[in-house]
Amino acid sequence: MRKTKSIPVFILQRILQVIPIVLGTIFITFLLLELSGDPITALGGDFALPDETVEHLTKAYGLDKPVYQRFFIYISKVLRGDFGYSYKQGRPVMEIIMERMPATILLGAATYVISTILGVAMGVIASLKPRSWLDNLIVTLSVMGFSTPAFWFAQLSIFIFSVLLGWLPGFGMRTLDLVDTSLLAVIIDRAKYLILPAFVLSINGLATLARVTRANMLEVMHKDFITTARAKGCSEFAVLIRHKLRNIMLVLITLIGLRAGMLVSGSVLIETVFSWPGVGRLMYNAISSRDFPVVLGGFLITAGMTIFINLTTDILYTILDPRVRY
Amino acid sequence: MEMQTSRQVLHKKMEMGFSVRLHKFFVSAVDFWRRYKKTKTAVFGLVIILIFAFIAINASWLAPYDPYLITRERFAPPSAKHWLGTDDMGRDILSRIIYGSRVSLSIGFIIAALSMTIGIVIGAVSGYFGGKVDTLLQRLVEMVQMLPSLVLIIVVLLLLGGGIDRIVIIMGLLGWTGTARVVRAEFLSHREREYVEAGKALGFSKFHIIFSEILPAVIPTVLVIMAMNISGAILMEAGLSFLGLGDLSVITWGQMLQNAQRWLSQAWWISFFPGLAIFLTVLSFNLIGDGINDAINPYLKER
Repeated sequence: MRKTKSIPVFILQRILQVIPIVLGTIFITFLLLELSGDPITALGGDFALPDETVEHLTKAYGLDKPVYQRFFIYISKVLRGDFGYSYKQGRPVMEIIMERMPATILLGAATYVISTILGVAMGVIASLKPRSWLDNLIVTLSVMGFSTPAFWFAQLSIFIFSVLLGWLPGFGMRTLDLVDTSLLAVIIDRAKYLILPAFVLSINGLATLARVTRANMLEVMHKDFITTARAKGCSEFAVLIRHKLRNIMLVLITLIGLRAGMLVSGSVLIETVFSWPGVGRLMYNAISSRDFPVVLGGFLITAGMTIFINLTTDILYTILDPRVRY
Repeated sequence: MEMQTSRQVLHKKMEMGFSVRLHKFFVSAVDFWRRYKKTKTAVFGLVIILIFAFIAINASWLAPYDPYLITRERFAPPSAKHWLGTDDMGRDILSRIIYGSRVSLSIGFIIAALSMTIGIVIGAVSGYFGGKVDTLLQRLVEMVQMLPSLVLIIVVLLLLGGGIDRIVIIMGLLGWTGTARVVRAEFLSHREREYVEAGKALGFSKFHIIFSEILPAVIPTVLVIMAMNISGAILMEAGLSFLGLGDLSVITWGQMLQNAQRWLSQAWWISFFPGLAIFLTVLSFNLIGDGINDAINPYLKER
């Protein structure tokens, strides 16, 4: 029999396991940069640079050093948050990305909240009466939900809610000439802009959650501890909250981690459709103007965030479920 | 001398085994279909995919117009002449969707085939051998799974240049993790079973046991993931084309949606119909996947 590891040891182990993943990700970007050709020729564009300029730039960028040295320099730069300068704006990539980060985090957080609350609620409701019309409806909706291309759904919702009905704004993040600048008015204004993109971005995750919640709820339904709880006189509501939902918490936490990567990918598309001024839209613009440092920086940042979220959910998981630490 | 004869016996057994297996395969296929068709939605999905496949194969004579033909009838709403309307350059949307089905469907299949080959090999090796090999491969799976794949694909396409072939290769190289996990789990549960022990006792090679003994047994599960993988690949390709990273010389549904973005407020049909095509295809593959799952695990259906 193995000894149970204490929580701090396990967390430390988990963090150590992440290191190769981080290095691997940086290695991928470095490899891509190397494969993408000579940056100095790219700088010159259509014009051939004079020899002394090429020599100077080669020295300045450290391109005369051997590959492995360049790789270590690259790693140390990336780890310090130095992603180079944007070709387009001439400013540090990190600075540009950080400007856009709040908007993306706002959208991402709203998406997590909406998809988790609605998804779990739908899954629980469906599981209460299996094979009823309500259950069938929710099952059908959830299959449709994760089959929908989110960016198409975004276009449709803009057309319906903003062009046709005029209820909600379809582009941007705030009203530029807002008259009433009290806090409440600003919050309401932001919320109006947030509803459509956040809802659209959440449908795929919401559908997955509803489905998984339903399946897991139905699985625990016939377990002995539920019968015991009922036998000792728990109300149906208490059984639901304290015994059933608690048991599926772990599954939900794993899903949150897995969804992080999908959310990041989705936000590039959705921010583009809604002109949401976040990192996703920044990357889209960088793609169309071939601003490599910004795209690479965006990739490293989003990959870093995904790894971080995964690590956090892993740690959360171990704290909540002692069985993991065999 | 005695070794020689026992080996000959083994070969004979294997040959006999083949025809028996073939017969068994047909019996189980018929049985499988009987259970599959019980799920109405799954049959619906299969019918839709067959229709799309028919359309894709016969695009050249099914399309009412030349999909590239630019006319003066810009932004014509759906009518008897143009069933699904025309776009900003007066091109017939129905014809473009018909031609677009070729790329979307074939890309889905090719990417799924590529990523599943990788996933099956890695999952099988990981699950069968276990131990250090397994730990190492699982770290690799974790790493690839954590990468925001769409963003990575964008980076690769930008740095190494776009094009359908590159999209297929990169997505194939990134999309195998789900398959690997499921196949690994199946192999873990199969490797201790009697028929595998019997195979080992008969002196079959590891390669033979993995690919000819265990793999056929887990094929139904692999089919379920395949359906999901195809739908995922179609969605991803649509997203990439939507971002303008596809091949501009061929028509794809995602690219039609990209074009529609600018005309959202005046012509809903430019966006609606190509998106509907993607939605129906993806939905159908998901329904097929669910149907196969229900057919191979009938007890799950009750849940």
